Amino acid sequence: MTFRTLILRSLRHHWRIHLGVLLGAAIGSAILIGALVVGDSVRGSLRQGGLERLGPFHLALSSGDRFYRPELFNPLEANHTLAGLLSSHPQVDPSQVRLTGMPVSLVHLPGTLARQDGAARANRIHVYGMSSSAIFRQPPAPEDARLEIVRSALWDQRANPPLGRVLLNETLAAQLKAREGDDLILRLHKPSALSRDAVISPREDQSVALRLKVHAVMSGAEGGNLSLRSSQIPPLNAFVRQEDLDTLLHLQGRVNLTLIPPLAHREPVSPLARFWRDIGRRIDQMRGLTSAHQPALETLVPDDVQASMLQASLGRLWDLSDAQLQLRSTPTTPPQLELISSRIFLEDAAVLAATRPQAQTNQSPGVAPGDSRPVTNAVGILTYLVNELKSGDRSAPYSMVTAAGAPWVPADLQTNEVVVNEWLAEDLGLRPGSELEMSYYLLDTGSQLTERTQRFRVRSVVPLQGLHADRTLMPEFPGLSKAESTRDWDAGFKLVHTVRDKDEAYWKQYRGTPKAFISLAAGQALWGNRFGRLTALRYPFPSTAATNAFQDLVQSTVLSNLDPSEVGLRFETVRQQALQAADQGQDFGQLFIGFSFFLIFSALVLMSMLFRFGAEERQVEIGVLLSLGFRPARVRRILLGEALALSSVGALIGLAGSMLYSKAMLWALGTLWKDAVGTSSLAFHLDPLTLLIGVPGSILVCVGSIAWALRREAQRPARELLSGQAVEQGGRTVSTRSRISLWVAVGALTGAAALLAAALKGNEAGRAPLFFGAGALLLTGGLGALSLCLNKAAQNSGRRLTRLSLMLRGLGRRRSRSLAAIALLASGSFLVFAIGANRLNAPRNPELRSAGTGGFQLLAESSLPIVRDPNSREGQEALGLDPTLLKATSIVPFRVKAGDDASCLNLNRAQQPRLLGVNPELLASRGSFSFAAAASGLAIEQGWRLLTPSNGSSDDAVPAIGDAASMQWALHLKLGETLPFTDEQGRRFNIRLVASLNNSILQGSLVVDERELARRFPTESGAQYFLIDTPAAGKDQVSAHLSKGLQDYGFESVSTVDRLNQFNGVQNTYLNTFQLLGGLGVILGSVGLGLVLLRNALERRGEIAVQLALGYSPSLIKRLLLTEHLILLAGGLALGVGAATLAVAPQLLGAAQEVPLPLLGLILVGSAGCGLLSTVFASNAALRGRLLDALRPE
Amino acid sequence: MQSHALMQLVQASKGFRSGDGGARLEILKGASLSLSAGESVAIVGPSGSGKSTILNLLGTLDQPDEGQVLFEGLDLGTLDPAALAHFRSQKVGFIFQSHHLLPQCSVLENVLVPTLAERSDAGARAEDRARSLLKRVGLHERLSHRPGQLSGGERQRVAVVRALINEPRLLLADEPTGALDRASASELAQLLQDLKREEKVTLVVVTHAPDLARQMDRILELRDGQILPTTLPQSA
Repeated sequence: MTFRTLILRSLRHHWRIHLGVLLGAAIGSAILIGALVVGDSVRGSLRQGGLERLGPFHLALSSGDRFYRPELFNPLEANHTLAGLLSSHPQVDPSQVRLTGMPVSLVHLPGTLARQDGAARANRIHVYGMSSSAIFRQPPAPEDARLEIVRSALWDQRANPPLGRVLLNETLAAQLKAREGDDLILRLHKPSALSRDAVISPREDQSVALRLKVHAVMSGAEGGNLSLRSSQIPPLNAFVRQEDLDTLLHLQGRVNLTLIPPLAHREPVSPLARFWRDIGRRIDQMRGLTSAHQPALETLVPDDVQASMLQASLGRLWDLSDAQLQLRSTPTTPPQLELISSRIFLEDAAVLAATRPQAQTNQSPGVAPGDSRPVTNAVGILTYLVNELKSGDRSAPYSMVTAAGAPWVPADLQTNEVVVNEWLAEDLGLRPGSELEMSYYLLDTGSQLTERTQRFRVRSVVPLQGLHADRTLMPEFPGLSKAESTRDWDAGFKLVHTVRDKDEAYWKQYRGTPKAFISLAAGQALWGNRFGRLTALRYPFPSTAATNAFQDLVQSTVLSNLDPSEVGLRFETVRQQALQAADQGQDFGQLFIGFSFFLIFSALVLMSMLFRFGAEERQVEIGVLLSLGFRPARVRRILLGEALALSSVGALIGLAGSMLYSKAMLWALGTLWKDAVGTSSLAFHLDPLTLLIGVPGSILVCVGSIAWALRREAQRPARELLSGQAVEQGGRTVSTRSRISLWVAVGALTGAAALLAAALKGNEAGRAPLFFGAGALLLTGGLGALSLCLNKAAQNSGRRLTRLSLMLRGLGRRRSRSLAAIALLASGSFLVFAIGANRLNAPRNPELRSAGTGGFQLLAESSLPIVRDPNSREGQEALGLDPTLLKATSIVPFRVKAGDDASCLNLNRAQQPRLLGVNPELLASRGSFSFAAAASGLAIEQGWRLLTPSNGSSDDAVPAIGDAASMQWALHLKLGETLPFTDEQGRRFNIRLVASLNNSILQGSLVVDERELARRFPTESGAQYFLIDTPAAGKDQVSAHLSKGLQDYGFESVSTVDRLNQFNGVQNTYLNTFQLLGGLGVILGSVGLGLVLLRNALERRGEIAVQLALGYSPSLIKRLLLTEHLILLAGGLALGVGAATLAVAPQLLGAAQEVPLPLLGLILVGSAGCGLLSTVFASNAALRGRLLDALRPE
Repeated sequence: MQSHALMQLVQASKGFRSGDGGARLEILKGASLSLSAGESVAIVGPSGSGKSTILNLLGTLDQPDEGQVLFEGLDLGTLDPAALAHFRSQKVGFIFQSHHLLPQCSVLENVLVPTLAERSDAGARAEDRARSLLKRVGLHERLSHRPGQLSGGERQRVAVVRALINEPRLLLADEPTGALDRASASELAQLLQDLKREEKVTLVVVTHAPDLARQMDRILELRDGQILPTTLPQSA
């Protein structure tokens, strides 16, 4: 006989009651481990989704509207050249690595796709132009080699669409209901080197269309869901032959996206290392960290190391055209070397690189070593189109004016002086000293067309020859340079000034030869813009150097001085980002532990209760052990030993149950709760770590709960225990218990009152948490008061005996049991009810500016940016809209810097959230949206004006406003915190969160001042996000009109209420989940109540039999028993619901949200019904059988 | 058969099937018994002979398989459960070997518990009677004590008072002294006799204790399912 034998004997003997304990432990463990497995599965599915999106590629270079040669990375494909091309890295020797696959270059553009029959349309699609099928992955091969040949041939045919054919991914095909052979119309934004925001950017011909036939539909596993964005929602992808796009968009074979596979070390792997790696790989597969196309058992170079090696190597691989730069000799005498950009304006970084001596000077023939003069002698040129040159009543329309230094203008030319050519002097009658007015549009005011006029004094008149007759001073403005006549101009704006015959003649003879020259400083002050401050850099050829050698010197200087990331060529570690986004995303493990918290709690309470009942039944046995000399601690150890054994077996059963639970939850997430995850492709994943943590964790929790329940067991004297009269007489004295209860009740209720007072005094924003706190304290205080009442009831009050007091006496007799049942029900109903009232429904008054809709009726997004002002009559006409129909409509446009969706619709953590740029005044003047809070030190009253940099931030960080929920749950950021971003020139900058909005349609994005967005991302042109203010009555008509009129832009509008409901749907789905699981917890709680009743009744069978003998009718006894326990049920529910009502009073009384009272009523009735049923069932069970036997002595 | 009998058991038979579904055991085989008002009767017999069964039949806690139980000529078998409960409440008082007092109630409250069978409130009259009866049995200073704070004899005295609170016509005691020491048992026997007289109740005592049995007016023995008059030898 050993201690363990004793435990085993006890387990065996009391197996009936232990069965219930085992069940409780199994349920608790199943839910606990299951919740963690749900977390693993969601995380694993997100990881796998991310890996599936990217296929074998780890790095991406995505340059937006900057196109580069696809050959840029060709040298990397030959692995033997890697060592020479790759930059060395402290951790990696370039000669010891190899690329595991081929880099793939693509054209990536936004577009829209519609069925030719007009039956369906998809906006905001991703169009990929591909030169090979390398981005696709052939599904696993069959065993039969002969079949493999056929399969490969079929695959090649399927993955390589011929010209005029398109491959769709499954999501896009489903949206368009497209099948192989269907005709579709693809519409693309025509890439423009010059931003569409530039005044002189052509307005016509912004988009082009292409008719395509569906070739095949590619699944996600085949690579159809290629995307660089971290989201579990599959993108809308169309893949066409690159040649199709080339023809359409004149891209000259250039690309803007390259995907790079990982580098692997060449060294051989030992068998032991292979073995361990194989195990590691299998574990990674379980966790969703590897995909089928992962190179097997190789040591990969870390992605960030590879990215930095490649980034450093770009300087050796690229040429000027990859930076949209070009060097050419001017046709002037003497000729000069000119650096120009296809983007028209030379970016500041390029100018700096081109005018700075080379860090490591390459010696060129005729250029002395270390001689930097040839480069630093460069002269900046800025030529711009002015609307009118005017002197007195004479004027010349639409002329080029060049801003430059000597020799075009005298070196001492003042900023208010101008040099004019003889043609202009003659035309306007100018002489030195004459006044000349120059009117021009501010360049980057886009569709606003802001005109300015500047006065100059004529310094001199120059002949139209030599330097001053250089037509190449005019940059190749896209709508002008190729025009044979001024009538062919597409200047980007309406020509309002009359073009005279002489002007036409000038154009024909001299083209864009500038008619006037001003100093560079003056020109840059007038026309400098976010795209650049020069249109050319000119280098005088050194007399000693050969032309080619000098050109080489300048080229190598520019290329070595310029960091490719400054012109948008930057490698992103996309695979790492995808995994990071998945890992940092919504933790469904925690979420489901939270959702299931009450269920787990109920199961544990139930289990502990059953174990304690068992222990109480064994009080004589415990008494015997004590009388035999066992110390109380040792007796408790026997009981805890049994608890450990039961918890361990329960956890193992729970482990099996957890698989079922997690699969059920995954099924529900993919179907019933799909709104919360936006995808049905959640697969089961299991992290071995979860088992290592989950099983012992469950055992610990179960044993802990039982230990808590048994903390006072075996403390009573053996005599009492042996007499069988000791139940509920141990522990603290009644007066101590009463005192504690009193303190808890008074303390908590006082706290609740204080919070309530603070809430009523404070502002509306901070009211909700105070009310919730008051509700929670009311619940605690209520439980304290009930405990006090039960104590009082248990004491001899001396008052007249009534049936009610008899029942209360019965409740008080098993005070802790009664209190546990009340607490379980009260807290369950509190949680379910309070959470239920937090459901977000459509705002009652969506037209209110303070509502989550901002008072806007419609929200729209477009695939292609709209540069024209949709609010002005001109803009509307140019866009083909009807100004009459839009008379009462005003639109707030937002610039967009594409990024990750940071709304609750994206389960991944947004790495770089989408930025929306707005003119803050447009929202501030309307008072749109309501602010939840502002960062410390900032006045919330300033609202949208906090976006103005000087208001919102003391440093260089860009102030941003976001939806409170997005900030908290998707970005995990607090107000005042910053989020690092990289601008278009590869410079790091921070976004600072200055204020948050209450539940709004702006979820998922951060809003910044549009000027800041334009400054950081100059090439992001036009607006792609719109809030539309229009009378509610005509909103459908306006929506239809805008969607139809702007369909070429992929314009799509939705009701703001619908959008808000879509966001609310996620939270509501979470709440549904919580309520369902919480509801199950309440049911389990009511089962617990039933058990309490059953146990009470069984213990009191003798008492009941006496009552029967004393003349109590069976129905009266049943009624008394039922009433006694219904008091518990009603008390628990009333306390829970009462406290919850207080907790959610602001939501119940507030105007902002509808409260789902019917649903809450249903929950209440359901909980009460469950409790009632289990009470009736238990009381019936207790009264069954021969009660009279209980009257006989044992 | 006496026409003035308070309670009669007429040709009553009662059997039970053994717990494991075994053979049926006939306890009473056409047993008859007549009780006059105010008399005291002791029922003796070996264990398992059916003494408690007779008590349960008289107290309407159980019904005979055959035969009748009459109270003042009324066949109690014709009453529904509610009427039977009313009968028990008003006409019968029970005393058990284990006192079966409610541990959560005080002495006074335990005595008043039977009054709640018919009313929701014990009422002042009942409380006065309870106090007076408790005083009569010497427990007037223990009114607010809990059963756990009393001795075995005291607890049984409370049980006796509880049985008398509704002024029953019939007092049924099942081994009332079984759990008491000799002195307490003797004291309780005397008390029962005194109270029977004072309260004018008919007392039926099932007992193994000859001393207690001898204090009753009649002694009946239960043998082979029949109730037969008997005498007990005088103790030494």
